[in-house]
Amino acid sequence: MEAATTHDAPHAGTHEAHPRGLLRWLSSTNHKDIGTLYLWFSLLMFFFAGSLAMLVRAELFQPGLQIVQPEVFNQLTTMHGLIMIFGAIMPAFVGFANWQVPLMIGAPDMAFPRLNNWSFWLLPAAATLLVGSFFAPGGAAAGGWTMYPPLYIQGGIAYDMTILAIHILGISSVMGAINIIVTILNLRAPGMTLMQMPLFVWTWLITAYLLVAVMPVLACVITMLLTDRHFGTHFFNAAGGGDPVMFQHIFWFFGHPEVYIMILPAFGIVSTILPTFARKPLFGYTSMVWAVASIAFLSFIVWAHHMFTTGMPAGGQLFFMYTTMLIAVPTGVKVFNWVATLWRGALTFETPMLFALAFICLFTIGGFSGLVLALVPVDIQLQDTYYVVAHFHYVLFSGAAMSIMGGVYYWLPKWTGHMYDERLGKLHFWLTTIAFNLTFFPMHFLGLAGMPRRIPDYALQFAQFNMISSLGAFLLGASQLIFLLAVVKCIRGGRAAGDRPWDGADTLEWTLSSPPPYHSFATPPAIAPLHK
Amino acid sequence: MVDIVSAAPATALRITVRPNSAVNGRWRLFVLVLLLPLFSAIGAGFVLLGAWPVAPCLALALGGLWLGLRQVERHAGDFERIVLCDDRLLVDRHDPRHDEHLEFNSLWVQVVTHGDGTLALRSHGCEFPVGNDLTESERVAVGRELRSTLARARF
Amino acid sequence: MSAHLPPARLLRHRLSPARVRPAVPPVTPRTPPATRAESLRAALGALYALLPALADADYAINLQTPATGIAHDIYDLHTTILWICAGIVVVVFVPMLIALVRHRKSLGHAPQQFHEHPGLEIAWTIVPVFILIAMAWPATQTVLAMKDTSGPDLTIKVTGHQWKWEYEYLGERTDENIRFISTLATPRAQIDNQAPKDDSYLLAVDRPLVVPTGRKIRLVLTSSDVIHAWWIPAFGVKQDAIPGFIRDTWFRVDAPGTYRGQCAELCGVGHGFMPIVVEAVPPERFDAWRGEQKTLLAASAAAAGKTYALAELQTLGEKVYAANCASCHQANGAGIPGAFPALSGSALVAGPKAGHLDRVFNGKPGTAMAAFGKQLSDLDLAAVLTYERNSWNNKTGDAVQPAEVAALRH
Repeated sequence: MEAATTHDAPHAGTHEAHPRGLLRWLSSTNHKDIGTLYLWFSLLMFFFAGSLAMLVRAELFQPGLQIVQPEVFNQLTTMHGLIMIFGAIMPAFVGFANWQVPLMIGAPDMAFPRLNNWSFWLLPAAATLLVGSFFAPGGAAAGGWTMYPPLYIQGGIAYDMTILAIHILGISSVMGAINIIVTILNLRAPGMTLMQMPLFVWTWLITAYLLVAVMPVLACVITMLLTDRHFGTHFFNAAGGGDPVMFQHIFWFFGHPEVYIMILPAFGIVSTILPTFARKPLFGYTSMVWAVASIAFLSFIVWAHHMFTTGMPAGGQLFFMYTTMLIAVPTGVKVFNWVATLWRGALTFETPMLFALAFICLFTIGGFSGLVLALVPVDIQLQDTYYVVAHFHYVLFSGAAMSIMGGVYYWLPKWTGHMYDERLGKLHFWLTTIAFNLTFFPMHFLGLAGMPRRIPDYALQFAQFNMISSLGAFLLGASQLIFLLAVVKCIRGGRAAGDRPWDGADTLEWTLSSPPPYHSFATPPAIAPLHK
Repeated sequence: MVDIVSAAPATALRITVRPNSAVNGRWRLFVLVLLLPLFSAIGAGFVLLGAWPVAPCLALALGGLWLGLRQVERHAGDFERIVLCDDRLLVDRHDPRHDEHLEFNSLWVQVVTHGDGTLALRSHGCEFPVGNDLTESERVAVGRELRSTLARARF
Repeated sequence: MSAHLPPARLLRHRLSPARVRPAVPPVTPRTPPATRAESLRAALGALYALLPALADADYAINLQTPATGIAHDIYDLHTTILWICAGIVVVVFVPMLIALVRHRKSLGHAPQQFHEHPGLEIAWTIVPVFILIAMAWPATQTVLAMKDTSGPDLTIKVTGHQWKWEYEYLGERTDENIRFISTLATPRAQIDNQAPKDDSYLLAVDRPLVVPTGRKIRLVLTSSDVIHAWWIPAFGVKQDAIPGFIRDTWFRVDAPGTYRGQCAELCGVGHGFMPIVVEAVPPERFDAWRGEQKTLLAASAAAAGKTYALAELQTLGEKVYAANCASCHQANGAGIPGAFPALSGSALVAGPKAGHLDRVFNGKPGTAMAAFGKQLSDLDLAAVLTYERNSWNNKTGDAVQPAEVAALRH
């Protein structure tokens, strides 16, 4: 012991023995493999649910019924929503967590690698059920992604398949969340305190807590729906003493935190990208952490703002209006901090930075329309109109999905060892941004003018904006093929990225080789304080 | 996490393998104590609304988290220590279920690396796997270090 | 401001000549309550003028012209918050734009390393709180006004059915109640693009809700099957109709006119096809209308007592079928396999009268098949049953008489 020399365990490079081919992916417990699987799965689902949206927009291109009949239209909107949320956005963020959390905290892997493997392999089973339900007698579930009874009780076998699929997805999410919590709490490299963790890790820690708290609520409410459908219970059946509105309370108690589950990791990704390309530390790290925590807390007490038109007492409406408006405060803090991060930096505009900047602008528009909707009287006018559709696509597409795209471009060089094609990336960015606004900005006008959502056909005064919106949507859909091309091209080759392709990046993953060794951080890295 | 220490005489070696653990038991308790009131409040609220099935669902999730944290807690003190000292090679293992103490004659013991990357010690016809908790690259390093020190000790 | 506009002006959005694109861009003689909103509207409209093919249409980009006091409040509230948001946009994005333009690496700008400023951070946490309080105040006033359903001059019970609205004017005595069903009047041919679409495409009903102007109308809402929502944008009224529960809301229309809205809660296949039309008339005309309805009611009761010929029933039945049954069972009676059963060749429909009558009268619980006994008159039920029994592959040759339906009611 005295006069001891500590030998570093050397990197063994890529020559380690682990299964190859299909077996590698089926049996892998490696966080990088599983992260890759999650990301590919979500991309596949993104394209599938996106195609459903293309059909929806094609039907809405002109007044009158042209392409699909109303019942198919309702199936398309329902499945588009469910698959995008549970199949595309959530798994994409879990994919990021799998890849990045261990790398960013200096851990060799996730805390429970085998559990991690199970969490992933539940997803394809659920996806098969969801996609397969289109072939069930009567077609897929058509009651909207919110599954409100009594409408949802009327449906056929596909509705049960959907419930089962969501159960499976819920179990997968909770297992993944427990894994992430334990990993972050326990596997941080020696010396990395909680307040030294990169903000992405913080946002995921809080997201994981939200998941553990609300996914069981969703699982429970759909179980109650199932027993109402088949086992004669009357939780939501007024004739049997139940209450259809109770479903909405329970559903949105899950549903609102779910919104933040889909946006907090996006905050984390943007808070990682901005300092890199501003070459300047993130402004207000501590207040960012507190803002995320308070948003998560507030998300538990705002749920009924989705239900203002159900006719709750004035006191209830006012309470939920005030709490909802309050969320603007921590969200505002985040936006101000991002702008302050840019201020007096040395900015460059690579593709990830473009996505992050677009995120700030467009997410803020989504935030403003959220503020408009928070006001009960205005909400009563706009609830269930295209204004709401515009609002949540500004939050979920230009918020969640575009941050995911930015994150992919940001970390692809690390994951693959190659630089992506910057020209393809920029083309993808500009087309996506323009097409997105073309698709969704007119929807604000449609909603204000009085067009309800979830209708397959509409009155004539809505024709022009719907046509613009559909044209935008087709462009938006087509632009995503460029994304696929850019990713595939980057995986297959390209300029070597080097360990740290971004000169402003300072988190731990950039101290590893690109791509990182199969087992990263065999020896825990030394942690220099991130913030003096 | 592995800690390889070669002591002053080139023939002595101490290798300690411990799971990485960034938090202690108090911290884990704190996490649960923080969550318990929140979960109870949510569960109780829904029971009052008439949606009693929410409560057991929440209990299951919290139970899952508790199991995860307890698993980590139980294994926080685990270690595997390989000590080479004079003519003895001592292997001590500790985990919540059992303690194990193995003694080998350092002149006879062989270090074996299997095709799947696992490491074992072989002596008088029996094999004892070691370093199961290590990542593959760490195992390679441990195997190399053991072999070279044993070789030195034999002369 | 627009309280005394003639109805044609009020309906500008609804009846805009959107389908027929005029060669010359139409002048837009709208009179919105706020001129600031007008300029914003113009600016946003200009954004889309870039698309020449679409530039000559009449775009509605704001809330519909309000027709009630509450709708006015909502309009003003929305305008106010839009301006507050615009102000915040300037405060946030001007510094961001400056940074994007001036603090570039390519211009040789050296990055500063500051990463906190407690004063600034506290300021931008506290200041928004005050802005929010300023916004919450008028909103709270409006919420309280919207919720005050006390002292109505007239109460109307609204029941949502898949996919039509039932209105019942509650009188002093139950037998004075006027009750009727309001369904989509747009012909199927227009929806299927086989006929040109008229101006009130999808927004026209066979029997509108008639209300007096200047009176406080209280609606009590419920539903017979799934959740619907009764919504007239110009009134600022949207209220879910929930099965098994009664909710209420109110409005007072300023000026006579026709106001159109739609069901706003997804309620199944026909969700997009259950419009709401409110005809607001001066009180004296309303009283006259009410008198007429009572006479009509008596006439229809007399009609139910008669016996009809098969052909007569079939002709009426086809109309009833189109309005009530075709959205699920389809015009050709083939249904949608797996979701809605076919009537053509169905054993139930082509079988004994009693079974068929029972299913239509009492519905099938747990499915979208409603109990039509509560919705349709004896004559309509008899007609539609006769039609179903003698259409497509069903050739029973028998007629169901209103008296047979009436027998079920007792």
